This record gives sequence, structure tokens and C-alpha cells, in this order.
Amino acid sequence: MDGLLVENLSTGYRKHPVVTNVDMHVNRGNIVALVGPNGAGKTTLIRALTGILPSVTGQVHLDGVNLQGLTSLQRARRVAVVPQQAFLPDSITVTQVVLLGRTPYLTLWGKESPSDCRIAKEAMKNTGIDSLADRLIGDLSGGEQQRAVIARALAQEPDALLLDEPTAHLDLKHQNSILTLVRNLAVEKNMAVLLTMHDLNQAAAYAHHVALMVNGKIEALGTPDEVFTTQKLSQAYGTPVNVIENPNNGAPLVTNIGLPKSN
Amino acid sequence: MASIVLAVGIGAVHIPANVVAELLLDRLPLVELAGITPGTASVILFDIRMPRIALMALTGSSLAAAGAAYQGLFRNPLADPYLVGVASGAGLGATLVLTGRTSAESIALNAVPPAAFLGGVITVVVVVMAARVGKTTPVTTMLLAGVAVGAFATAVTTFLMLRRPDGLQRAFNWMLGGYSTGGWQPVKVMLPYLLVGAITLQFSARALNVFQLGEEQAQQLGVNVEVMKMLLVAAATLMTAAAVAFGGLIGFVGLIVPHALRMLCGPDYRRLLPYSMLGGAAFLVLCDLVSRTLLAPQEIPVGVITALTGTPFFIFLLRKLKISVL
Repeated sequence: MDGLLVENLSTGYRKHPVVTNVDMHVNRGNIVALVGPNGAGKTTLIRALTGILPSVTGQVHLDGVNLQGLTSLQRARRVAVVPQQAFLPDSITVTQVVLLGRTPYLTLWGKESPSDCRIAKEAMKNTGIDSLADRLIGDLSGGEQQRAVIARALAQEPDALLLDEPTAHLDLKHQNSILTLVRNLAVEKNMAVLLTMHDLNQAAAYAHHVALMVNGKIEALGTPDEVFTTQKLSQAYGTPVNVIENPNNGAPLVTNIGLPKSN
Repeated sequence: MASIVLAVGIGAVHIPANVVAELLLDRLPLVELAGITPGTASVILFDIRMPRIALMALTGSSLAAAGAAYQGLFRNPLADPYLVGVASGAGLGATLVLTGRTSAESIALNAVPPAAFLGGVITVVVVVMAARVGKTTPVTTMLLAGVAVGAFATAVTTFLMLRRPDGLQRAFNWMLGGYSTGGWQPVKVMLPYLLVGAITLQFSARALNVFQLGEEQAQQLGVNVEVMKMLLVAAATLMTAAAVAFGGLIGFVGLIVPHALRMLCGPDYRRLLPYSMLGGAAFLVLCDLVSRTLLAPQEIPVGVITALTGTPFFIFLLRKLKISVL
């Protein structure tokens, strides 16, 4: 089966389960947005999928290959991760950051070949940062840094791309541009993309499917129309919301009921 | 290279430059110079001064390379080669021998380098074992364990010194600058450790670059983080322990030289490590030259010179380049 297939996955920290019996599927060329309250286990699930956390039960397959049976090197050639908070040394250039994405393909000595450089250049072009290639990463804005991190992930030539809150700390314009970029990349590169996010309306606008995670379990998985209902979201988040139709594109629009308007 | 040639010529006994050149040429194969008589100059040059310079060069490159590796591994600009307990362990090893009850002076002196070496290596092993959590060894835990075990070893060292005051002076002398005699023997002993360590580090240089993104990212980029960590600590420990065994606890080289070179030639460890080795060697040879000529024939401990000259130079670089250190 093509894409990322998660079956009955459970994991946690020190025998304290955080993610329990998760089943989900991300098709190639599709974006699945993983949403849910803080502490639901979204980041933990991402960490388990990348092998940072060992899983207690369950299996993860990518295009039929069992990811848990791979070494970190083999896995890094198939799955790339954009972390929630990327550590970036200030004094290296964007090109150097992106070239680090070639790590899983390099020999022991670690010298990049011309083809590695070509792939890195291509990744910078794909993410629209080719003009920043020689700038120091520390001098860039948050949105530009995020693009560089995504370019580094692309340089791994992955079949699956996992992004942990790629739009955190970005303003509306840059959220849109990053999510548009990710969506286009998923389709163009035919990658299975799983991303976590907090903004439900952004998820509804950009993801093919959404997975609603609560207390370590996937409560609902489907199109935004199917998952984002007033009842499901109010229950999942434990706060009253009202889902209406977005007048701009017909997608579900999640509105917070909050306090009455005060004048 | 220039610093080595300079250092060969200058010493407590002055040897003119042309004599140095003639003697060096004479030793080259296929060169026969007429009228060279092996004399005092030759003995001083080949049996005292050159081995010492070679030892200083090896010590400097070991410390600088290990310091660079630790700064990368711990992602901490304050990291130096002594971070995880090598220094205090080596100090304890040396003190154990020097304050020992039985040993005659000469035996004790010969036993100091191996004891210091073992003390350093054992301490690091204890630190790594103490820092292990399950199958991983988090670097922060390693750092803290290093401080704790180091403090313990230092306490024991102090206790031993106070109990045997006659060993105190000798132990103190060793810590400040090791031993200046011994001919080529220490160089031969130390060279393999340096070579093995340097080759291991050079092959780990790429991984060190990736480590700058954090351990989790490094693993997601295919680096076997735990294996790499142990390999780096092992290589750096062997190099440092060998350096300390003969040279005593020379500070600042392992801290400042990598930073200075990082500012000059960038943070890529594939270049930074070899440059650090060259820089460390040149720096320590020059410092040693100053240490034995400034108040000749009395010698100042080389550690004093490294701190006195290294710190202002480092601050100068810091202010001039204003590039962030990491």
C-alpha cells in the first residue's frame, strides 16, 4: 500500500502511555493535518513515527516497508522531519543548512558531491530561498528560516514529510505561504505529508484530511467537513465552539463562542 | 612550522640560527655538510629541545582538537577538553603515585604519566556510566555527572596531598606543566593516541556538523547519535588523557584555539578540526618558548603563559570579528 500507514501504534515516556492504539493513513501526494488539544500526543506521535521514541505496540509502514525495522540512516532517506523548534547555529549559511539534509547519503568522510550540491540548490529553489543561499541563517526572518528548514528536509529526498507545527510563531501571511508551499510540494513531489497544527481553520483550508487527536487517541479521521463539526470539536477541546461555513471557500469555519461582545 | 623552527633555536642556551640550519640539514638524508662536529649544540638540539617541542606540538593539537569536538558535541561554547572529568581524574592518578608510600623518586616519576592517563580514562568511564539513562546518555546529564565526579576526584586529590605534604610540591608541579625531560620517549608514546584520536574525530566531523541542529534532528538525519557520542568522547578522552599525562593540566588551549579558528575559518568541523590541531600545536609551541625564555634559566609553567597570552588574543578576536561564537 502506498503512503504512510500507521497501525495500532502505542508509545509513551517511561511506561506512561501518551499515544494509544493509533491507526491512520497518509496517501502519497496528500496532506493530513493532525489537530487536537495541547497534550493530546501530537508531537509524541511524530517522534514515534521518526523512531526517536520506541513504540510499545503497533507498526509503521511506508510504501509497504516497515520503518521500525530500519536503521536511522535508512529511515532518514525515506522520512524527513521539520521539528517544532529547529536549532540553527547562527553563523552558517543557508546553503550549509540545506546541505546537511544530504547527510544520510554521504560517505564516512562526508564530502558532498556535485550532485548533492545540485539537489540542495533545487531544494532551495523549490522553497523560494535560492536568493538567500549565501546569507547566514541567523540573519533571516522566522519565515525564511522555516523555509530553509523545509529545504533541508527536501534535500533528504523523502517519500514522507513530517512537520511539527510548521506555522507556529509565523504571521498570517507567512502561515499561508508556508502552507501553500507544503501543499504544492506534497503534490509535486508526491510525498505523504503529515503535519501538526493548532489553527483549525488553516488545517481545514490546506489539508486533504484531518485527524483529530484527543488524549492519545485518534477520535476522528476524514475530510475537514467530516471531522470539524460543532459537536465533535466542542467535545474534543472541552470548550464550546460553533462551526459555520466559510463564506470564502465553503470550508468549515470554526468559531470560538467566547464571551458576549462588550462595548 | 615557523614557530617550531623559531622555538628550536631559542632556549636557555642560545644556538645561532645558522648552526640550527646546518645541524638540521646535516640530519637530512643525502646531505653531507663538511665541517660539522656533533657537539653540545647538537645534543641540546636533538635530544632536549626538539623532543620537547614535538611533545608540546602533540599536546597542543590534542587539546585543541578535543576541545573543538566537545564544543560541538555539547553545543556549549564553554566546553573544553577537561569537561567530563579527564583533568581531575588524571590529577588524582598522578597524586596517588606521587604521594604513594613505597615508591622511590625515580619509580614514581616514571609511573606518573601512566597513572595520570589511567586516572583520566577511568574517571570519564565512570562519568559516562553515571550519566546513562536507559540506552541513551544525554549530554546534559554527562556534563553534570562530569562536574560531580570531577569534584569528588579533586576532593580526594586534596585529601591525599594534605596527608603527604612532601608529595604536594611534586604533584603541584606536575599539574602546572608536567615534565620537561624524558627525550623522545613521551613523543613516541603519545603519537599513536593522537593519530587514532585525530582520525576518529575527522571521520566524525560531518556528524559534529549535524549535531549543531540538536541530537533529535541529528538522529532524524540518519546519524547514529549514541554511537557517535561515545566515539567522540572516547577519541577526545584518549587524546586529552595522553596529553595531560605528560604535559600536566594546560588550560586555555582547548578552549580558545578552537574558538579562534572558528572565527577565522568558519564552523564546519571538517575544516575546523584539522585547523585546530595545527593552531593548537603552533600556539603551545610558542607559549612554551615564552615560558622557558622569559625568565631563563628559570621556567614559568606553560599553563600560565597560555592563559596570559591566549586570553587577550581571544578577546581581541571576539571584538574584531563580532561573529557569534556558536
